[in-house]
Amino acid sequence: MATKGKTEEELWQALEGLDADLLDPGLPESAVDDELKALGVDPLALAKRASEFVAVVKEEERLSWQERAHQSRARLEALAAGSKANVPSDMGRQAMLLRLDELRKTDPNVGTAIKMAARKRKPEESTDDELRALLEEMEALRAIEGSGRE
Amino acid sequence: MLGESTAETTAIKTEDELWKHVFKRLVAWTAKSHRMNPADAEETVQEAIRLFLKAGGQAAPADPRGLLLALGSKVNGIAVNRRRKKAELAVRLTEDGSEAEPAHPSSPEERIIDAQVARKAVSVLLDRVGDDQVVTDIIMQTSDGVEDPADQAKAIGCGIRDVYNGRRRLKTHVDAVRKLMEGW
Repeated sequence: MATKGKTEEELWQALEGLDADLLDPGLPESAVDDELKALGVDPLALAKRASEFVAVVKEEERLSWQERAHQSRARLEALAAGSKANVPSDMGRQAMLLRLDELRKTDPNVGTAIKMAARKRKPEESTDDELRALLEEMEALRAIEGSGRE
Repeated sequence: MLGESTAETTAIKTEDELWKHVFKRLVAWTAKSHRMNPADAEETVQEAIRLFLKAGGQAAPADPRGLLLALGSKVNGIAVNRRRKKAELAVRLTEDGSEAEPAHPSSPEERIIDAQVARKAVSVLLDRVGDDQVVTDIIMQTSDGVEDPADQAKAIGCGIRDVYNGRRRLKTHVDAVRKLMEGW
């Protein structure tokens, strides 16, 4: 057969590629169903399985996101708890002030948080308990910030 | 003519409808184009969807074509990997002295058809098609380089549904001729 646009090889290849029609959203649903039936597949049952499968995968994804969030939270809580060891119960007022000063100078993010806290009340004017609570918070912040940079 | 196609596409309103629409097409296409049994094709499509969703892919009911193409591409990747693994396994078994699995039939793209065989194939195909005028016209249009179903419908002067249905009938003939070709 004489062809104008295509050689015989090209025409044959194009005809073999007609299965790509199945990926054309314009192909009538009835034609797709006929193809499936010819393959021995029940189109209705297949559509039902599609819905169920996608729902299961989406749920798995949602749960895996929650799991990741739980793990991240547990890790941060462990870091915060571990950082309390940097503020021993017998740490004196002067040592706590010195440590706050050191954190303010060496860690920009923690320093900003200390400055924000100091706008309400200067560390020097705080009670020992308030000072300890502030230092524990700043040590926890430093540990979390440090882990984020790793 | 094109309106019919658009109406079919825009009929998809929900994501659930979209997944059903896409899943059925992908399973049929995977089974046929990668010559898999339906169960393997369904499993492959599921794997493609899982990869797509895990990568944060979104299914937009307004764009079934985009989803079909994205998943079709994933299916191709999975199918190629499976074929490669199967081939590697066959080689290993042979080296062990055991019987190798028969090679997977190559995909249409992988096979090289020479001009003589192609000429005979087209000739046998036209004989098989007989007096199915729409199918004959589709072959002629394809030969002239008009391959889009909407363009073919316009050129032939019939509805796009007739063209789609004709193309499905044509594919059945093509598959039958391809089987014959194995003996040539």
